[in-house]
Amino acid sequence: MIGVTAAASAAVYFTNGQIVPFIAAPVACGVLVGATLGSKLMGRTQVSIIRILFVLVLASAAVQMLWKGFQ
Amino acid sequence: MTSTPPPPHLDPEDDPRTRRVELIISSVLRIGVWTSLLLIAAGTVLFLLHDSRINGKNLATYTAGMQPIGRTLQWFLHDLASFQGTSLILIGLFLLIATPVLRVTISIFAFARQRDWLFVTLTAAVLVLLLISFFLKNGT
Repeated sequence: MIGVTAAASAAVYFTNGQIVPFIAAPVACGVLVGATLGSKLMGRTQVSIIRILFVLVLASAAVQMLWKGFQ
Repeated sequence: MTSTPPPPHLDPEDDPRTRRVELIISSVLRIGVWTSLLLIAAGTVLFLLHDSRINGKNLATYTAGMQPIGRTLQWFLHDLASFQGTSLILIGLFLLIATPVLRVTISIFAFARQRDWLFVTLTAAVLVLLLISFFLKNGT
């Protein structure tokens, strides 16, 4: 989801044609569905589980970035 | 530093008009976001269906931005009319970006009805800045 501040910069990129639609489309879908699901699940999920999931997601992203960096 | 909650009689949440405006804003945001999601998802499906030559190999040329996207109205209308999907994605993205702008616009009217002229001025300034960013061109 786009906030008011992000809309200002997104508009510049959009009107200059610097947004690649085939990257932005899956990202937008993932963010919208993920944010909706996440905010609904967060209230009834234990904090420790969220913390573990968060660490796993960040760790996998870090490994991915490292992997790409070494290639 | 601790922030003390405002006294109950000053809590804007208690004002039914404020509550109504908040509900309007929330439904505008919801409708804008879900409509754009629908358009983007439909556009992506159409884009993938349209060209059977798209495979794992040349998809990268699209995601890397190597395939030029037409910038003319003619290209846009042709893409839209032939259901190629890219124009739908662009409409969806535009709606996603325009939703917060709409939200700011509604806020101006809400503050005007509350006769909160300071916030009308501030919010109008935010709106002007947002609208300017739509017309900024980079130098290259």
